[in-house]
Amino acid sequence: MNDRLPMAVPALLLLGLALAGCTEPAAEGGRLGAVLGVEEADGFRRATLPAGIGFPRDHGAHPDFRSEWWYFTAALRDDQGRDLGVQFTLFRQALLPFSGRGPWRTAQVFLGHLAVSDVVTGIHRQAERLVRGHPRLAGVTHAPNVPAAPAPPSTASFAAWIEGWRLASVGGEFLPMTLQATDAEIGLDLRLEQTKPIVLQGDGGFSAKGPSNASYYYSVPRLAVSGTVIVAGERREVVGRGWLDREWSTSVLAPEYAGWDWFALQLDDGRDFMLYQLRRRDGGQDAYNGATAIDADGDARRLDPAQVQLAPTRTWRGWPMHWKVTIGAERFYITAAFDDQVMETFVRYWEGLVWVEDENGTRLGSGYMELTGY
Amino acid sequence: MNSLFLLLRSQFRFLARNPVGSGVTLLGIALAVTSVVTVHLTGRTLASAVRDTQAFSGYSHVATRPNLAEEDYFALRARWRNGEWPQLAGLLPMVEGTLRIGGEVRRLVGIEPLADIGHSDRGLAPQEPLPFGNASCPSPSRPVTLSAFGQLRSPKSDRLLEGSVANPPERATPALLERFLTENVVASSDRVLRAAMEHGDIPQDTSLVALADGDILIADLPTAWRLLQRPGQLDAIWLRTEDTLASGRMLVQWLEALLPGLSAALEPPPGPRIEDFVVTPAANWQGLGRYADAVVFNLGALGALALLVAGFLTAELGIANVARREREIQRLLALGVSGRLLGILQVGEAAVMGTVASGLGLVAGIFLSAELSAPLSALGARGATADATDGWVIGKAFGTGIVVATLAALAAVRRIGITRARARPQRRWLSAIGAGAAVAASAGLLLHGSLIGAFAALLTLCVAHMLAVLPATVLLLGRRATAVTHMSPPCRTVPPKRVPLRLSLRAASAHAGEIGFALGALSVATAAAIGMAVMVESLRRDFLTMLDQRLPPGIYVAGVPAGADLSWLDAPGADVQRPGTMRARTAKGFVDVTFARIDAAEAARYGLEGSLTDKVMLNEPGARRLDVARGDTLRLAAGGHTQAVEVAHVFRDFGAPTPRIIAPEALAPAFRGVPIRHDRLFVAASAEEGRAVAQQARRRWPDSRVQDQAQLRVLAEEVFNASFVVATSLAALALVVAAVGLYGVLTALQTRRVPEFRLLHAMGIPRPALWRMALVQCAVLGAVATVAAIPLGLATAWVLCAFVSPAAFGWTIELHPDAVATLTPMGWGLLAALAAGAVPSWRSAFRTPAPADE
Repeated sequence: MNDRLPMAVPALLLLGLALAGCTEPAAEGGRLGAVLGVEEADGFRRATLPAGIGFPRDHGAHPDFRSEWWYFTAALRDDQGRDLGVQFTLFRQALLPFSGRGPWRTAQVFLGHLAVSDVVTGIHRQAERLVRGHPRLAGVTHAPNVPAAPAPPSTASFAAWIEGWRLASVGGEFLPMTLQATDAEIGLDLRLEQTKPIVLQGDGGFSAKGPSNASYYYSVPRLAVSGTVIVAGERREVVGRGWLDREWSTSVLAPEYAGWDWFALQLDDGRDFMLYQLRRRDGGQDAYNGATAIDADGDARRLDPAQVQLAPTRTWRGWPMHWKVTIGAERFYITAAFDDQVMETFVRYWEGLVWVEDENGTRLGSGYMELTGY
Repeated sequence: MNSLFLLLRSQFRFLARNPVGSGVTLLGIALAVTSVVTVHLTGRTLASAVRDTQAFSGYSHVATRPNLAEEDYFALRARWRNGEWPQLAGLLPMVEGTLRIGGEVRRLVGIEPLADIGHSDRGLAPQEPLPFGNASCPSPSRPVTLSAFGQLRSPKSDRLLEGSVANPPERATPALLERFLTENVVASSDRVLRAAMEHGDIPQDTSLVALADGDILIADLPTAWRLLQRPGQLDAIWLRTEDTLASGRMLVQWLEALLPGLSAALEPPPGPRIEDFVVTPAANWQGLGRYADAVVFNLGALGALALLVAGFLTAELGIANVARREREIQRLLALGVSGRLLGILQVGEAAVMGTVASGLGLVAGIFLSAELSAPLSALGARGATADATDGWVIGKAFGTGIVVATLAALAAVRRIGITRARARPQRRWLSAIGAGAAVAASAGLLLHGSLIGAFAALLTLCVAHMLAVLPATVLLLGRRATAVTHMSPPCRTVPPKRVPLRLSLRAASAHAGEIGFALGALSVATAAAIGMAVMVESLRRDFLTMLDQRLPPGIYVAGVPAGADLSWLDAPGADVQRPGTMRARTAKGFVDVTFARIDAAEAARYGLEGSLTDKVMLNEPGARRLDVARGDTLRLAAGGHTQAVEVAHVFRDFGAPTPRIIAPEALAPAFRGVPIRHDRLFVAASAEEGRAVAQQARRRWPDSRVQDQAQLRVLAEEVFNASFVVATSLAALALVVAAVGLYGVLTALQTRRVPEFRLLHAMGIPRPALWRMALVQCAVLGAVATVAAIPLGLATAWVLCAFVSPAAFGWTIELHPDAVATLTPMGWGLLAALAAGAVPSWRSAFRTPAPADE
């Protein structure tokens, strides 16, 4: 169960709330279920079996599934040694399993989130865009489909955009990519180079989130990132490590879950970890928690959830900001680069840069943490 | 300590011995506070309701250009996202037209519901966090962009699309929005839905769903394009700025908080400069926008008036309360009591009375506003009591009650010499300069041409009146009285009977200065009544002229069914007109067009020579809003057709807030294919013929409204008179308030005249004569106030006719000074002065102890 939980849930929840009217608290559980769960899912395809993920087909959109996202995060450092965290996410949500005729009749809605965490100033800047899936506003294109697995993962040309924010392949392959996104205070102009193979999370990309809920999920860890970040009008040349997640599903989250804690960690020794835990409403441990370890050579290994323990040790305004992580015999700590990295978007969640440290406080690496449902 | 106790006891004994005076003071202040609180809360509720019902509330400007299309929207949006126009917070494309559904031609508006969804209702509605886990999300009290469209707002539609006949409740709410985006779904009211099902004229492959109360049809852009047969075309792009009320203008926001509605008269913040686009304030684009703003502003102005009147009343009562004790205070001073201590006691008493009265007034105001808000809730307004805890209301209540009463008491204490006041030389030239400056400021404000400028001009004219006109009149009277008194017997013999009269005149002039504030208030109230009466009379004359133009003798039928048989009207010589109406676009907003026959006779009623065949007549609100005048050319667009027309005449259209054109029937073919509503009918007929036609029409079309134009004229006059009952009542109320203030002051004044009366009574003047003398004094004061009010009254009427009415409603009124309208308020002002002085005069005349009593 090496599955990353849907980081897109806040955004999808946003869509659900926004489109339906966030009116009755009692209905919120149902709304989440409606968006990510089993309700009103007639006509959509569902992730039900470990099916082969094929590329470049699966880099592109899957409009027959209800929700989907392209999720990029990176820990960067500028030429003056200042640390920055960046996030760019494109969410897709289908209102119906089919669209009408013409570009306006699309049932697809896209949402973009852009954020830059400036560690020196401790300021987390963010922007949000939500539009209809009209090709002049937002969309995803990729090369023509190729046969699905068991062919080994390959790459192909790709572009995803929302109102001027654009994540696109540079040439005929999926990677390298460029990411260009600018808003009033922040901007990214980055190049993303692949250094490790694509990791199919879960069971060959099938990520079970419960007895009857699942998604398809893969990651591209340890991207070599370089380029320019604009922070409050100041252009900074940066380099660093990035992480790209892809996930699509129709019914991901069961109503018994309150939220989740997710981590993408990149250690200086070359190892990477993806960890998550589901938080049940009844407070119990969940059998569908998971973790993946990727060694320096790119070999991925699912970890037994029983071997992984995540224990919060400090909170800030209710958000856990410091964690003690135990993976088998290994122990390290995760701490937020600074506390206030809350995404004050339509739905609030915490998404930001974290440091990985040993028990003496020596930095072992960096990563990104996502907290929802707090 | 004992002396302080004795003084306090004396203070309370005085209050107890004068229950009427003390009660009047307390009640007066409480009433003043009540009025302030009630007007504030009700004004805020109404302003909120009026603003909320405006279509596209939250959008401050409209950008448009000829041949606007979706490509322009994409380009504009891309530039905005690229950082241009940072003050913009959202864009909403819109296309509009008409469609025949439910047997009627109805307005169809197409919007892109997701264009501004990311900022749905932020800043427009209270943000109530909703629990989701421990996280929260802002709760749009109304759903997203659709809710910003005022027509959709109703208590029932707070949840987006409720169930209806075509969309039964078992269908999930979000599913309907999904259908709205992907299918041909048109939203409107239950009424329209039922009518459409009855007539069976729902367009093919289109679903109609009940959404709200309004009869407007709302659709997604592609649906609207299909139904209007205008693929890819847009009429406007609505712009939402960061702060639609007043970007960054703290002062304006404070003004709005202090006097809800007052900021509506201010021009909206300048919109972004977008080359090749015309950017228009939303209120101007929407037909009713400016009208609604004017209504809201009037509420604010009423709030300001209430505050001023309450402040005046409280001040006068505070002064009078101290002045009534003058004799007692003088005795205590003579006994060696500290003047400072006495002053503190008086001011303290005023503060206590102010506090008690403010509390009472606040409670009464909240209660009253809750009662008043009950009928408003039917309009969707939230209850005024919800705002009761607002700091501004409490501040205004206690500010009016405590601060003003205390300051007034302090002023009174200094005036009667308890504490040492710094000697101030009388500088009349300063008053004259002040008055001149006020008049100059008025002229400048009037030139500004705005509504708030006109009201500010009126205010400064009032200040000039109180500073210069009234004091000058009093001065003149005083000199005249003094001159008469000093005349030597050979020049003129004064009969002994006239001595009291002469004394009254002299006393009036002597005391006019002392009660100048109260006298000024009476004078201003009289002037306001004169101004209002003259304005109403002027409007009445213009209104009747308009009725003569618009209501030729005959029968008018509204609601003629589509396809109705009219052959029964084809009698030889019968003059039947069936005007058609449609809605057209111009560069600066929409205009309602009526196609009618404008032959020579019809044109003559508007003062034109010859018939109109290719030129149009535009109403005055339209001329202002669209910024065109006689001789200018307007480009009218509807249903993909565009026609340039020359404006031959601008006609008055009292009561019409929106732009309207009367065009010759010959122009209608230029808009071929556009649904034109033909649901009205006019038959020119004599009274006898008219009755027969009306009878037939009622029988054939029972659902229609049939009216004789002559009866319609009578009805219009009745409505006109009823409309201005409120204005007359307000003017009367101002006089009553002024009279109450004057009563308080005269009570104090007559108390001070007791020794004088005692002496006159000892000289043999009977008490009735003393009373008459005192009454004459009041009459003289009243006469001074009312005569001095004439110039201000006429100036007020002029400003109302020439500036306020055009700025507020777009209607110009020709000033017709009328003797009756001028003299009647003067009479009431005189009566108010006499009524205010009757009781104090009687008390001073009849309660004066005879010398033997002492």
